[in-house]
Amino acid sequence: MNQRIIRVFAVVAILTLIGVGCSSKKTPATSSSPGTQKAGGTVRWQTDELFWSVSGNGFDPSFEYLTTNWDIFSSLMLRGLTTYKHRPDGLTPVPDIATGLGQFSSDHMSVTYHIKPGVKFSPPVNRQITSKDIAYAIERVATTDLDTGGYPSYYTDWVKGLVGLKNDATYVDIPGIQTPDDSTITFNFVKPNYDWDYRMAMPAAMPIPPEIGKCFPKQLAYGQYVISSGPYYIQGLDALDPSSCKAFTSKKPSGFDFTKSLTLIRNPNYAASTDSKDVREALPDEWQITENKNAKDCFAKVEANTIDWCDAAVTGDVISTYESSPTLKNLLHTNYDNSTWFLSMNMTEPPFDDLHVRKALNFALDKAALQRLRGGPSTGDIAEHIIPPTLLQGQLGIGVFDPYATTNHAGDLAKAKAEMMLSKYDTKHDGLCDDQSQVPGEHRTVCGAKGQEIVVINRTTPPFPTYEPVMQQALNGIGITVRFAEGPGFYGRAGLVKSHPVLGMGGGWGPDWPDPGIFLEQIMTGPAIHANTQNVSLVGITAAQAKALGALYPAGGVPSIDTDYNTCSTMAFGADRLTCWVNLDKKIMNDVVPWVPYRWGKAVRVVSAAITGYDFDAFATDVSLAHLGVDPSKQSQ
Amino acid sequence: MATADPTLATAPQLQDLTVGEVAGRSPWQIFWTRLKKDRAALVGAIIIVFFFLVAFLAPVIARHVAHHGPNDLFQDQMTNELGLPLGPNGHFWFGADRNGRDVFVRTIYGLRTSLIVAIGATTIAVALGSVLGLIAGFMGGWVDIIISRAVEILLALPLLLFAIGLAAACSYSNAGCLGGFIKPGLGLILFIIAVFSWPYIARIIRGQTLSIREREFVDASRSLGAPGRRIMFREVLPNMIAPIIIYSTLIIPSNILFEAYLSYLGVGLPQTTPSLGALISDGANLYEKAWWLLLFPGMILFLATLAFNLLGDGLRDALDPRG
Repeated sequence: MNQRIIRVFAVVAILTLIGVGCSSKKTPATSSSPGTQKAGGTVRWQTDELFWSVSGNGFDPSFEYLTTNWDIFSSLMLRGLTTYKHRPDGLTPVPDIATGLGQFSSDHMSVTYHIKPGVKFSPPVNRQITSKDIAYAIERVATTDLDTGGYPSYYTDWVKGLVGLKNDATYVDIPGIQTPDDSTITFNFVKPNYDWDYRMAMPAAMPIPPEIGKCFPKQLAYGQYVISSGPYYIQGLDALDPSSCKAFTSKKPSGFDFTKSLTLIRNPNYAASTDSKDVREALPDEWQITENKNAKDCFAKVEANTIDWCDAAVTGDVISTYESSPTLKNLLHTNYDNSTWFLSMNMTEPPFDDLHVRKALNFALDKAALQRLRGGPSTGDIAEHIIPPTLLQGQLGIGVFDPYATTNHAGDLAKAKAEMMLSKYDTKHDGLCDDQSQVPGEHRTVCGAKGQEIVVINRTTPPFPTYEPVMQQALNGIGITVRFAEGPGFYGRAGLVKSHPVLGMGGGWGPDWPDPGIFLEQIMTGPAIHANTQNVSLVGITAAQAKALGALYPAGGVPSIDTDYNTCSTMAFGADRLTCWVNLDKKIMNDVVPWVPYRWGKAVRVVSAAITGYDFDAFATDVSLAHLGVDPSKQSQ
Repeated sequence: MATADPTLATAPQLQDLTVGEVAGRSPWQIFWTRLKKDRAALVGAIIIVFFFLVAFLAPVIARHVAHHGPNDLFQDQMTNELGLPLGPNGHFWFGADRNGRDVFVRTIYGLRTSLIVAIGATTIAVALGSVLGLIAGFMGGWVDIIISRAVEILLALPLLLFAIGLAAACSYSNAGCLGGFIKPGLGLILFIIAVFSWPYIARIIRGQTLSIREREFVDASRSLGAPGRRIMFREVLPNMIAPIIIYSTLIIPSNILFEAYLSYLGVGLPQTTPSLGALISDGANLYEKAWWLLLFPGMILFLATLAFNLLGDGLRDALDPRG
């Protein structure tokens, strides 16, 4: 499972190895409508990386940031106030254990939810879920001592007085969360909020029983004891004694060996009547997840039906093997995963502080070549702008808005040179960057020269090193001399402001929830800039920020989208808000140009012929576990 | 019982020595006579000469024979729509890689890089190792202690991990490391390999020096008042030419492989500088679909290391005074 998008931050780095996706025309029509598949059976799932341990967040729902874990939590184990339909088009939240979506106050400074009756925790807790369990979970996200790299700011930036649990992991009353009765919860904000329903659908906002939560005052421990509120729970959890923390933690559930396997079985307390088949079908009786580090063996087992899903990186050669075989072709599924892959240009660093140079590079790059190197069209479409069309709900689709269009997306050096001629760094006006003055403190010239090259930060993982000749061809074509520096920790290096990164070619980005706003927030807005930022192009950096962080600051300033971003993000969800994002995307591509976007990613997955109802979850950007079934008659031992 | 009588056994030999043709041969003549008889070593030498010629002429061959440069992209002609490369044909003798680049041209450029790195790093390592080994062995005392401990520390370091770390850390900025002493690119790789190769030479030279410094001619020089530096470099060092040549020849193939390891792991030279290790690394990811990516560079790497090893063995046999 090399391939999961750990979203934002450290996350997207892992995207690299992975195949990402959304449903494309190549996806076989295996999805079925709810109720038509048979229940029962065991899904045997193998992964080449134990996703509950690889993230480093210990499978703790409050802090887990790996999307495969989100997939398991959201579809199988946990229920929140809101959730998604776990389908490719499930881009908007729907009520889950709440009776409806959030009821916002007229000024959007507060929101209220009511919890359905009859929703219970799994064994051994076995009690009704109350509003206090949600409140406890929200405080737990904000608890710094427990945080291993989650997304606390999604709550702490909004909820009044939210500071986290006490040292003994017990709840503290705050003005921002009110629970007047067991079924009602109100959040009070420090500024108007419009997207709380999305934030409540995150695993971190799903209920945790405080009487169990307080047994885990230290990091990385609760994950092995997660109490379910959804249709499945960890096998063996029912044998633990919840009467005291000492008794509860004296044993571990038999179905979870953190170094080997996880088994989920049906939660006897799950009341399907409180859920919707549109959201979760909960078809199999059991999920067995084990490790298989040998990807070839793993795929071979899928082909032989001895396992049902091989969760390993599907590389170009695997894709070609499957696509060229009529029998194997049906096992391959590709789906858009809402990600954009890009070459980033630091807008404070010459020559990329000049809009014309950034535009020239957009014309010069052979995007089609990069698509082939990744593994062809199954792995994604060629990107023409920043926000993936899937997030824009079909607006700005392929070929609709491509301000740097070239024939077959193969790059056009003539157009690139024509744009470069407009740049102040092309003093001879021949379409080549030729300013060879030294950039102070950077051991390079403005346009780069032998021994004084501009460094392009890249990843070591395939296919990124193979992109280098294509990138070099584009850059050399407009007179820019570069050198590639491959290494681990792409975001750590590309976003380290004081080290003056210039170009980064390992960038891939997906949103934490399917909304253009959250897609742009960390990568394009000024407030997201800090010492090691995800806004690697430094869009919207101010002179003061540049001075504080040790960045250059061009005389003409750096374009910002902050005003437009704030306008769009404070609009009510609907057509107008979507149009606002569309216009902002256009503005970014025409007037800001921080990236050369080259691929809208797809996830590529391989499942066996025994799997029924395969579909894709646009929230988790992975297989829709909520609607997956299995046909035991097609399984082999 | 004639053989029991030593006088009978030695008398004819003495006679031979006084009149025989061997007596007039210099050590180099003996060496050459022996080497000529070692066919394996000669084959090794011929391969090495051939490889040197090919590597030296790589740009000429690329331009006038293959008509492709090492970084010319032919994705349209030489890769399919899934990005998989196409195999050998009349224009691309060794096939193409994923970028549609000519594997033949990249292999001969890769050979060139590997030879430059291996010979360069070996030269640095031999020079450094010989001088430090000589000083340690000849001077003894605290100088020996410092140099010998440094050698042991370097030998104890986890070589590959250290090299990977250094390569990653020093390749980020054009300024390089150690105040610009180590620059990214070829220089960095040369430095890393040399740093980890010299201790082997130093140990051997130190041992030889310990033995030679006790010999009579050294005592004679010393008693004539020759300074230590002169004795070291004029008296002791010339007596160690043979081991230096032998070990240099044997270290070259291991350094070719070391560069290949680093490039294989992606911490060597950039993609745009072909090297045999990087070519093999690319090929290993795709060998089921494109055997040519692994076969040709692998074969050249194998032949180059084999040739240097054969020559090294031959030189050792020919130069060994006990042989």
